[in-house]
Amino acid sequence: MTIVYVLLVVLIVLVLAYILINNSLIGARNKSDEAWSGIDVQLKRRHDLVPNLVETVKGYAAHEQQTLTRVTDARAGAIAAENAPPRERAQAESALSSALGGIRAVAEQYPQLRAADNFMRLQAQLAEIEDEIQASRRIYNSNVQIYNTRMQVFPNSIVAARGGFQPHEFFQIEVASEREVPEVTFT
Amino acid sequence: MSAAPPVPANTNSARNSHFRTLLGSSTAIVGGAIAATVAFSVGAASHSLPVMGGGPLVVALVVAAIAWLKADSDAEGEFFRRYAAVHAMHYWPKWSLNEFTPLLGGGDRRRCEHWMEANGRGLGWYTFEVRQENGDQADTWESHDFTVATVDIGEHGMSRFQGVYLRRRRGVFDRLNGGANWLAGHHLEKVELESAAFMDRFELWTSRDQDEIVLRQLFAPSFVVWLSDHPLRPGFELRAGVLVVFIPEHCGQAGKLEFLQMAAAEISKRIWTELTETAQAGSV
Repeated sequence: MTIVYVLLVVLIVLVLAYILINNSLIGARNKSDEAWSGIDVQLKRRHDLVPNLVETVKGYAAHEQQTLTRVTDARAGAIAAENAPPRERAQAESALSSALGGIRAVAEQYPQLRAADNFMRLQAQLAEIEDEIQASRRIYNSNVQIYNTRMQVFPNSIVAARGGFQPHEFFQIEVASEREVPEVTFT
Repeated sequence: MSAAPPVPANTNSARNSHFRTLLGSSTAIVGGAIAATVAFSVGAASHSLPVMGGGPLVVALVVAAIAWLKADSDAEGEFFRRYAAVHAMHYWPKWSLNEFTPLLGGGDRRRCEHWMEANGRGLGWYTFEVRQENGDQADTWESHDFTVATVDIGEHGMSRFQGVYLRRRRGVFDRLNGGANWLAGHHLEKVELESAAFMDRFELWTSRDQDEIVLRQLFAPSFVVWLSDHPLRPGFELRAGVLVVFIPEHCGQAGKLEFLQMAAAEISKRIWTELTETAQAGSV
């Protein structure tokens, strides 16, 4: 009879451990998903800002059509990739960042554009959004790391395999402000 | 105009020089000599060699101990006076803080020391004490020390932020100590943010009538990352148009105080930015 009780206790402990691990994995996965939607919000804010920026630049530098088309196309590509997995989405967003870097280069050649209030305001907004994108990315990647690690360690790995938990991908995106290398002169 | 003398590195920096000055003071020498003579005379009158020899020695030790305690307190006062002077702040050794936020109204009794203030910003040591009832024995008091930096946010802040309370996440033992939980009894709601690292370090509470959109706008990803990475792990409370940024210790290091002031400035800047943006959106 004693052995039955011992087995019963062991079984209860195992079931409780399974439930706790499963819940902790679900919690970590939800945090990761939540952080992903945080990135999504910031990226959409950037998509919304681009048409205004393009229109403003058009007003001062209409014949920079190639750069403006590149930005518009990159934005369309980024919007099309909204439901894509992180890696593809990161590629599309990095292409948009690169195209936006082109607008900054154009602005360097047009002092009137650079000095325009509207352009300055949009540039400031873009810089602020890109800061938020970077912060969201850090939060997401940190949550993904916690989730993936929690999933891989023993005995969580057993529960993860049985529960169909899949590792999440990290999100690496290059933003325009990161591409700007500060000029250093030694004179 | 002469420049203010530099701030000592910490509250103990000037203690040794104060100690030497006090020991060399006429009060210590004359008082000590009289007390030693009295102790010697008492020993001689009672024909006790140990009292004759040990009495003056005990007197010397007592004088040194008193001088040490006084030097410690003087060095602390000097540190804060000089810190205030360098930062163009007014200094008060004792102060009384209004109970604007739950922290400032925590415990059963409160005190505030080394208060420095200028242009709507304050900085100093704050302590709340919780009464421990011991039945027939006398009550004892459990102290909870903080260094707080306050910023006056103004009336507009009062209408947008009904109550936001961020503090370091408490451990199991802290949770068991109900008296130390100054937010208990304020009917607050716990808020979960998306950052796991942030939620590991902090707990965020708000008043039930706090607008959640305004709260989410304040806790933008960049602010969450900034708070998560900050080495001081500062908590803050925002209520009644007053921001209180705090760390749970009596901080006596110039560098750390400076850092806390900078943290308070950054947090208040973010709140003002949020208030300005909301005001602009409202006026459009």
